[in-house]
Amino acid sequence: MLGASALAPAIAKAEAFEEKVDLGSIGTLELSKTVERRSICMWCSVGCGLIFYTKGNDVLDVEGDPDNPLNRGKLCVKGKASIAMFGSKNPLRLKNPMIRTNPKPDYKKFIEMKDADEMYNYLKQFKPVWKEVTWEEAFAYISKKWKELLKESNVKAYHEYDGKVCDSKAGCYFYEGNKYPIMIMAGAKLLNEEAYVIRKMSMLFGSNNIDHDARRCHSSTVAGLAATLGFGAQTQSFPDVGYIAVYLILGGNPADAHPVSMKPVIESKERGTLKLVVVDPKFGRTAAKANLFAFHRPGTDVALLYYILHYAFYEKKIDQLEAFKEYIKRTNVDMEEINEFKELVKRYDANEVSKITGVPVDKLKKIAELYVNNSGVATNFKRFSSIEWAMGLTQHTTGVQNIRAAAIVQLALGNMGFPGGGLNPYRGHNNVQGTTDMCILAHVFPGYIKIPSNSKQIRAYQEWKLQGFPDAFNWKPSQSACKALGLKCSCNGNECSLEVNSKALLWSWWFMNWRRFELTMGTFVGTEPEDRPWDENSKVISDLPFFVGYNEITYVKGTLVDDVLKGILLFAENPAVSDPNAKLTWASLSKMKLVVLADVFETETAWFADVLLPGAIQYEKEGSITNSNRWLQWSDRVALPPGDAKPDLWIMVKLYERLRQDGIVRLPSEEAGKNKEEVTVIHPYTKEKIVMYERPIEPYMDYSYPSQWEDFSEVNPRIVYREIDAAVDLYNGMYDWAHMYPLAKRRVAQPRSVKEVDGLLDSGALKHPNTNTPLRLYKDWGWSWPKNVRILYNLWTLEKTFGMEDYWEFPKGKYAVGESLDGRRVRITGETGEIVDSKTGTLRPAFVPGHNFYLGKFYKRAWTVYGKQMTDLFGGVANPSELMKEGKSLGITVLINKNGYKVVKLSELGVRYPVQESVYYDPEVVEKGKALFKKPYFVGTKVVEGKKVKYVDWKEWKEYHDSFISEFSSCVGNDPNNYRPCVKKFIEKYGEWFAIGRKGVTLAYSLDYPMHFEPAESPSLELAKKYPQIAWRKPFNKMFIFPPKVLPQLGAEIALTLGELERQMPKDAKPIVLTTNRLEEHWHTGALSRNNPYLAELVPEPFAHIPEPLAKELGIKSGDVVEIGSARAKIYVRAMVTHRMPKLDIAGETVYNVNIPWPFGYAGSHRTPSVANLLTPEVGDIITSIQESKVFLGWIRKAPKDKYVFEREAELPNIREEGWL
Amino acid sequence: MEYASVFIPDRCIGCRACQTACKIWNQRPVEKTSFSPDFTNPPSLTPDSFTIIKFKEVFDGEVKWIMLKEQCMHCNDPPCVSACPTGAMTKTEEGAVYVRPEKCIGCQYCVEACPFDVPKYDEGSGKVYKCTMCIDRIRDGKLPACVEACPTQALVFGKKDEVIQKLKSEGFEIYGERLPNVGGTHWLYATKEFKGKLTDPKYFGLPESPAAKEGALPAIREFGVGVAGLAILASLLHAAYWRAKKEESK
Repeated sequence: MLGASALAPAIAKAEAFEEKVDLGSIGTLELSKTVERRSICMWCSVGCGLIFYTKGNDVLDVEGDPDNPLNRGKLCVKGKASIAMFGSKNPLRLKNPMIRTNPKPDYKKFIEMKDADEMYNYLKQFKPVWKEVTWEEAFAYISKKWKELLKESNVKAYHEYDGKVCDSKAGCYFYEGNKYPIMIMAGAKLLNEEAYVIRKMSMLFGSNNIDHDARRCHSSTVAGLAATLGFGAQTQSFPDVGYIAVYLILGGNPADAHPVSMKPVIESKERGTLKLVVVDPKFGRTAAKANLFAFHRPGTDVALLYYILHYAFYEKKIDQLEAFKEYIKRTNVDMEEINEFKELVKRYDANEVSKITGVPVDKLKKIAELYVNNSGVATNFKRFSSIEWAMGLTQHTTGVQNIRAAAIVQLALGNMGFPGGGLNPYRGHNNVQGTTDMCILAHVFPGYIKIPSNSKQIRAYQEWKLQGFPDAFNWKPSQSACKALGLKCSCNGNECSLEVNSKALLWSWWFMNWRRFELTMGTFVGTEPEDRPWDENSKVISDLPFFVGYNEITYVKGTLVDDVLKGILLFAENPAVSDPNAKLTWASLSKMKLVVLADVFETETAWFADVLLPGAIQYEKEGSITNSNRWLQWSDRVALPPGDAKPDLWIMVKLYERLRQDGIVRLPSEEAGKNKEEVTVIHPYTKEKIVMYERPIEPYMDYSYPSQWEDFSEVNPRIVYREIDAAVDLYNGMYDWAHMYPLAKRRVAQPRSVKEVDGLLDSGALKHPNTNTPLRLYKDWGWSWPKNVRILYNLWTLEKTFGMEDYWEFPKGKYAVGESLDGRRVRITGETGEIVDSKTGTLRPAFVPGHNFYLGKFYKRAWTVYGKQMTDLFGGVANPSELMKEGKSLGITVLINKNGYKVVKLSELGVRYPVQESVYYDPEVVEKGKALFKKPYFVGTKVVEGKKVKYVDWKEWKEYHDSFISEFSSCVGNDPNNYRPCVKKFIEKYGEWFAIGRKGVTLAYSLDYPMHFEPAESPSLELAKKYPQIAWRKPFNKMFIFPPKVLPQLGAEIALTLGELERQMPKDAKPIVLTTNRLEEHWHTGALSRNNPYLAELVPEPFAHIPEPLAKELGIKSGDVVEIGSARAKIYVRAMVTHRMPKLDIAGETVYNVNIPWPFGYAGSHRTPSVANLLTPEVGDIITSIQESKVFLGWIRKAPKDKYVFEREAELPNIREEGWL
Repeated sequence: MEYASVFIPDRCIGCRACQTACKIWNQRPVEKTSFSPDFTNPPSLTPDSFTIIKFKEVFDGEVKWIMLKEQCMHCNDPPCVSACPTGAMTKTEEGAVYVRPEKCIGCQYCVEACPFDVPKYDEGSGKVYKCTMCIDRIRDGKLPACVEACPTQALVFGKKDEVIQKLKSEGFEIYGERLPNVGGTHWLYATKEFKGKLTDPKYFGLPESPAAKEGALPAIREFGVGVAGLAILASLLHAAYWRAKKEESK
């Protein structure tokens, strides 16, 4: 292949001319006189390395970092355009804290309006008028209002005995995390340190009303994958994509959204080792490069994926292959269950799937044949087919179902856990993987840790602490604990033996993390007194807030309907443009009494703010950032923020300090008067109480540490980075406490030697059987979670793909591992990942013999062994500050014998770095890591709406499925207007949706396997009857079927069928199926890109992609103004008439798909009131509530020119004249 | 030593990093563009945009979306250089053709002479601007700015004969190696996927025979550099004559 890099050295300097050309005002930047500063790209999640050429605080040029294996010196247009984001270049950047001086709009007005122009005319009257203030004044203002709102909401930490949530006669102390009146939204542009601190702040406030962009982009990926495989992340890395044999891009468009990720794709495609298959409702830049492309109807991905399985089972007969039988053992189903599953798949034959998706039968066959024949099971694990997706799969009411279907395809085809195979959800924002991992999320704590929901869980936790903080294998829970946590135990009196199943493993992991939080955050979770966990008179105290909070979709209900949320603190988010059914967001933000926004521009959301705080772009701060494939890289500061703008971390911590100082942050433990923990364990034989040490309880938030910069000296991200390593097990291992070195900073792209950990796989000595190119993992470039594993679930690569084995010696007593590994030579079959050992300070393999599903959540701990030794995490921490700043813990352990015990220093046992801990993963743990091929999302029996509902798996449901469908279909008949009443009728009759009454009980499908469900707004009545909308399973969505009294309008906000839409549609319009998406040139809400002159030049105005035959019917030409409407609102944009949009035949009827890019709004430069999200519905995925913005009904017609509003009066300077460069 | 840059449409994903990289390196101002019906923006080369990616849909039952990079072709025998009365238009040993700004008098002979419609006259400065092949970067041992940026190696750069040999040995069809009237170019187009379509008007539509435009004059600089003033005067007269003639022909 011809490569620029291969030819570049040909232009050796020696050959260059002496003569300098004079090009006048053109070119000739003297880069030799600049300082190079490296950073990581601020736009998408590929994680490209950048080199900025700077002079003082000015930035002259930017190039790709040639050392970085993710981009190998290359950049896309956004990466290049980065230079226009700096304060020195961009006059629109915010420079000072500001307080609003004029009134805000009346929230009720928005709810009445349906026309974008009309809304804008109203909104314009309330354009904010700002007063510049100091940081001190801004914080004082926020603190005062905050206090008022807290008072108004009567947030309380003390709860009396109620027998349900609180079972203590002495009362319970905890905050209800879903009651806190101030919501937090903190965007995915934040660095890991910022994301962790903002979630930590919310925990200290006592709030789980916190969420971020990830809810709207990949929450369904996380829920779908984590429940199936262990983690909700990309399993391959971007460089690894080059080894793929068939790459199916379904619901993604990486050439637009992740351009540099296409580098290995294009290379391998040209080499002939990769076939690119794209299925999409829009023919985008990726499709332009496809070997095979098909248009499909949005919202039909499960059907399409099931056809691949149909082909695999019924034509290729993969279940007869040895490789299949072997691989399926790594999952939770046996061959009998596979046969049951096959019955479900059988329904999705080519004709049926063609009818649903609109993809012609012959094309379906071609795709399936190519995909299956190149899969792991079909090639004996030598070649692999892989799936990439983004919002096309996730933003559906069936989002989790789509992702589950993709995961099932990969499990059935043995495509996961190998180089060149896997699942690749490309994340959107540069650090959305990291902000998700840090869990700026309403339903989990940092590292995907469970939120407690009753006092019994806290008692069980306290009991676990008394047993010496054990792993699941050394845990002997009492009967009460087994009951409280739903563990499987066989008990003889109160002596129980625990079945170490996934539930037990998960609870021990959650508990270990709760302990990490306590020790690092200076909080307390447990009982008072500590040694009587089940005594009904002991107080239950939890500084971890209870209950799942409001999220980014449901917060509008929290504000407008429930009246719980009264204020909002936003960092780097622009929900006014990004959230579905924008007018409800506008109404919510208007209604809130305190809106605080930290951002870099005056965004659309800023129009609703009371306080606007100037933040910094990524290149103006430093910290770690996790790219889409889980690699942590360190992003350095390139320039200082403009004016008085500050890094977001600084803003957070300073705000926290002010709130704490004003008495606003008060822990439940403080309320309970508990200011120290007696860290106690109970002797397993003598039952003697052993107090190991005392630790003061005081929230820890001190990150001052010397730095060359003043702001970092006050709040130093490097200290937070260390805290994350200690507090979040998922990220544990990213800091080398032995050498006090952040591993995210590593920049070594060279191969490892074969003798190092995972050396064989990363040495380049092995050639991938598909590409015949050297295999590389880049293990020394940054760090990757978990435990520096680069390919998730990589258990078999060495053994199956390369027919090799490797070994590792654990000489007796050398490493901090348990007996099962200590003193043994162990076989290695895959990628082990690595841990800095607390005895040697060197790397040792983590997962032995390789990395299996769920690993990283299941663990063993060497320092607590039942009947022998008991140790707090890190050997105990009395002072978080000492831990973070000096890397010191107490390092003590209790050695147990039958009659007594001895408290000793871990150092006496050869441990030099106790903060590195002693977790290890032996074959017994690895064996437990089974993928959940089958995974019910609704389980057990419960009372819903007064009816007893039993959730049943496909195995049982299949007997009732067809009767449910026929009962529902006959209710609807042929009248689209019957659809809604029938859904209502069924829910009222059975209590639950997708359910049927039998023998006095309601049986409801558990969704253990996905199936095709029509979107909440379906264009086909026939299909909506046969594959009913699942949306109405979710209580939040039922708001649109049973509208609340305060918002009766919601009853008309969703058009379940075309019939319902047509009632609102103008006569001269045509119905369409709509999707929204962003563009290569523009970033999400456009707040960053529309204010970037280079990007706005390429695509300045809002438009919609319209299929050519539809445009012809309506007399629409490119450039015309069109009205696009939905049951929510209507907007006006320009028409781009194109053959790149489809006319589909769906169940015998023509369906047109129209696509609207959504990065446009009414603030900043290049603005329009026609926010695409005014059209989108906020019906959510039934599991994660991600909105269905990738398929909804609407109409289109030609509109008068004057309806189109586009302005760019905020002129950006002429780069040449103003001397930008 | 002659160099060449190559555009390989098979590999281009239309990200336009090249377009912006060019603008940043050459410090050209951003233009006030408007909606483009096909993404191409600005719609054609301008004094401030030396290179653009042109997007084109080809529809014959199935749709194709092709991307074509436009910029100066850096001809072997550049008609613009011959037409330039002041010697501002210069061809270097590397094969780059660039405008010496201090010598450009804005007569626009080059504009008329160019068979590829490349040089663009800037009203503000009264001079002509176009792609320089990044001669300044090449002489500094760097890749041209657009090539440096391209994430998918749709742009490659190297010694001209080596590049051509390599492309041929890999089975690429090349446009620009030899062309009537201009002798060949230092910007080449190469493809495996679109063989026979580089000059097909339905696809890329590159001219098979880049015709020197009617009336392009032989180099006036042959009058002698020593009489620069005269030359300029002559060129101004010629310019006036040329414009008048152009008006007539309308």
